[in-house]
Amino acid sequence: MRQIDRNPPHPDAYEVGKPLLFTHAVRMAHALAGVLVIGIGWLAFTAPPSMAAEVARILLVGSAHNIPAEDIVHHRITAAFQTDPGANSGRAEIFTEFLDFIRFPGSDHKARALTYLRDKYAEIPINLVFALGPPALEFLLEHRTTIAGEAPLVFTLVGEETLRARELLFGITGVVSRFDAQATVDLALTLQPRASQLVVITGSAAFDKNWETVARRQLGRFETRLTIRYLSGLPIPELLAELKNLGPETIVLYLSYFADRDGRQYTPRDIAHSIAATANAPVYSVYSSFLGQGIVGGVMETFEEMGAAAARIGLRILAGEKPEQIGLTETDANAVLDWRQLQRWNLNESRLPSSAEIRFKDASLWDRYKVQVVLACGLILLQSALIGALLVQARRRRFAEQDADQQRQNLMHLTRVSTLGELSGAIAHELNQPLAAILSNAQAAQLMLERTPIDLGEIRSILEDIVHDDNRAGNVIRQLRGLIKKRATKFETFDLNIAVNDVLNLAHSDLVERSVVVTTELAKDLPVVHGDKVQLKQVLLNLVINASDAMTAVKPSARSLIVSTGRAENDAVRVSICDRGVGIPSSLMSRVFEPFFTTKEHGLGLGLSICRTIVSAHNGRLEASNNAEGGATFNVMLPALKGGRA
Amino acid sequence: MTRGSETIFLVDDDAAVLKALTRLLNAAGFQTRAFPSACEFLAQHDPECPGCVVVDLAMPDMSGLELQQALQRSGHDRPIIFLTGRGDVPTSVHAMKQGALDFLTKPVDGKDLIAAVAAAIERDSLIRRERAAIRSIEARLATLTPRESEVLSRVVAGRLNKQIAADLGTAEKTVKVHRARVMAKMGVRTVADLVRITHHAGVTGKAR
Repeated sequence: MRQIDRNPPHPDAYEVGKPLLFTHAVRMAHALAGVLVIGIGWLAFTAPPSMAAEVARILLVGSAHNIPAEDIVHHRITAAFQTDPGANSGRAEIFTEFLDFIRFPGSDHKARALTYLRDKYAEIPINLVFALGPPALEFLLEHRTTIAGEAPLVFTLVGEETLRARELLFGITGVVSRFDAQATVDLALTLQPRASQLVVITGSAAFDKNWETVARRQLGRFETRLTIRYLSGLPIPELLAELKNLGPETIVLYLSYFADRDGRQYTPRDIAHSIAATANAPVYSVYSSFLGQGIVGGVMETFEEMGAAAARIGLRILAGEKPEQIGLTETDANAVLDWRQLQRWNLNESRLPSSAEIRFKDASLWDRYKVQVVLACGLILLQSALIGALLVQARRRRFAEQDADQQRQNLMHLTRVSTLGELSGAIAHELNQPLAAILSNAQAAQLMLERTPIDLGEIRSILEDIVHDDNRAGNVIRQLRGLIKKRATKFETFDLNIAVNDVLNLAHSDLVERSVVVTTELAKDLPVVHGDKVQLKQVLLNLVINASDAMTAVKPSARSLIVSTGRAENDAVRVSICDRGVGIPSSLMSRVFEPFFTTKEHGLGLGLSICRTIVSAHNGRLEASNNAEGGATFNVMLPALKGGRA
Repeated sequence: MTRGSETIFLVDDDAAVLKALTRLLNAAGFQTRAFPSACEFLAQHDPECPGCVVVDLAMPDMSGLELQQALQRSGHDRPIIFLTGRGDVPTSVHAMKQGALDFLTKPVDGKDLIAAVAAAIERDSLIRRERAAIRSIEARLATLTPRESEVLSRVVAGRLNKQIAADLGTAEKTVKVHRARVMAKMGVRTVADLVRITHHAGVTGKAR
């Protein structure tokens, strides 16, 4: 904002000095009649304005009702007076009038308006008058004293072209704006340095034609650099068709379009939207109210500042300063650009002067949706924290499960080894038998070799037997190693009958020694099962040893063990180990699978507990029951592999 | 190498071991008969056939010790060599007390087994010879008249002819005659010999 002294107006410019913002009134002017009626009606029902001297009465005269620019300025001025208590003891009465000279340009309407306003304010001493826009200014320059007596006049929304060659009388000052077409084309050239063509769009209304004249004068200096085309007053369809086919390096400057040459009236802001949407080149303008309609931008003053500056002048006048002392105020113009349009036309933002104001930048997401963004971020953070916590928990649980699994494996291994330890004597015997056979066979062969003739057939037969017995011993060791080795669970498909035989072979010597007679009833065509062979063998071995332990109190001739396999309900395979021992006392039946429960003098009481754990891990069941004819039966039920046959 | 007519009775439930032992002993010149179980052995046992038994201690149905007891009960005792997979001291002591000749641990060395078998056969033939001797003494005792038996028991008990005559209520001369006849029938020339053989046959001072 700077104070300027007006030079004497240039005589040539007098004709050009038509009100620039006048045009903005068109759109809203149709509402004027109704507004006046309502306004009068409203006044009739309210108390007459106070005549008290301490109240400042302000008359605000607009050019057109409900134009964005005038709305903003009007709002700024009224707000300033209502909120500034220093101005007039906090009291200001504001009267607003909108002339509608754009829609009603004839002198008849002017006369009517003058009579109306003169009569209306005859009894009201006005302290200050604001003129918004050139039509209002022009009207008040002529008729101010008739309506408001000697009240000072402050104008705004007025371009310097309007003031050019106009003598400002005593008691008048205001805010001058530039609406700088030249600076806007400079700005466009900064963004489009390779531009070769400039298209200037204006309408056919008087205001539009004025703009064209002003533009032709202002833009003359670009003629050496750019081909300038003036599209003036073209009907909208023609204009838009023209804009679709512009050259690649074109600058479009849209100034104003109130009417086409057939007199059809338009709203310049709507036309800005159509032009920007259609043109295949960037569109610039000087009016900040067009921003957001699709134009790239321009060198513009803000209407807010125009209103605020006028209000400041008004306040100084009411405080006692003379309008002549205050002088004219010029608003600052600045380059204002629509970031989205810069992106759309791929214009380099970095070329712009640092003072340029960029609007609608995506970064403004934060500004626009701060609360939502904070909430959303908070939610996401919360959610992330929750997910993180759950992950940590899941991880811990997984570790704990792994740990528990490891412990279970260790325990299984431990009990397996301990079971084998119980059998060690018997297993040694199992190993001893083939070794004994091998030794005797070998020594027999040695003796035979000392004799003549040597019976080679017999020696061959001996060697075959040695090989066979060696395999047999190796097999015992393999079985043993398989059971002793610490290993991870490994599922495979196998025949339970073979597992039963392996276990009975391993326990054979032990059973013989304990005088236990084993009978097997193994089902043919038994479906295979899928499971950990070693673990299931451990279960069977444990059950066999348990059964033979249960028979120590029975006389040797009655010690009988029946191991049978077969199918069970629900596609299951069953192994039953049935003894003729002492059975399980019914009071203990429910506890036999509990860990550390044992009836034996030695042993941890873990065997059956682990057996059940293993079988459960195979989705099977392990059950115990007493036989009617004495002794107990343990049933292992395992799911059969569908379609698998042993 | 061929030995006498003695037979080694092999009893083992493990077919491979049984076959290997058979081979070994056959190669060492023994006659063998193999049985897979104690029961089968007992069922086919011929007490008259000289020889010994080699039996595995731990077998299903009937163990080696049970076989030993069964033989003793039937009175057809013969030397037994036990084979065992484990050097189980209490079991072996028990077996030896029951008259086991030897107790060998599997795997058994051929030389040990052959030596044990040879000793067992020796023992068996000794037993058989003794049994034969006793049988001949008994046969001779059977030829004595009741009066001669009475005299014999008193002679063996160390009584004098005069005392015997008093015991039996006969003349000393008559006792002398009986005594000479006993000596002759029993085939001995001295009272010491008479005492030895009658003791061997289990005849005590008591009259039969």
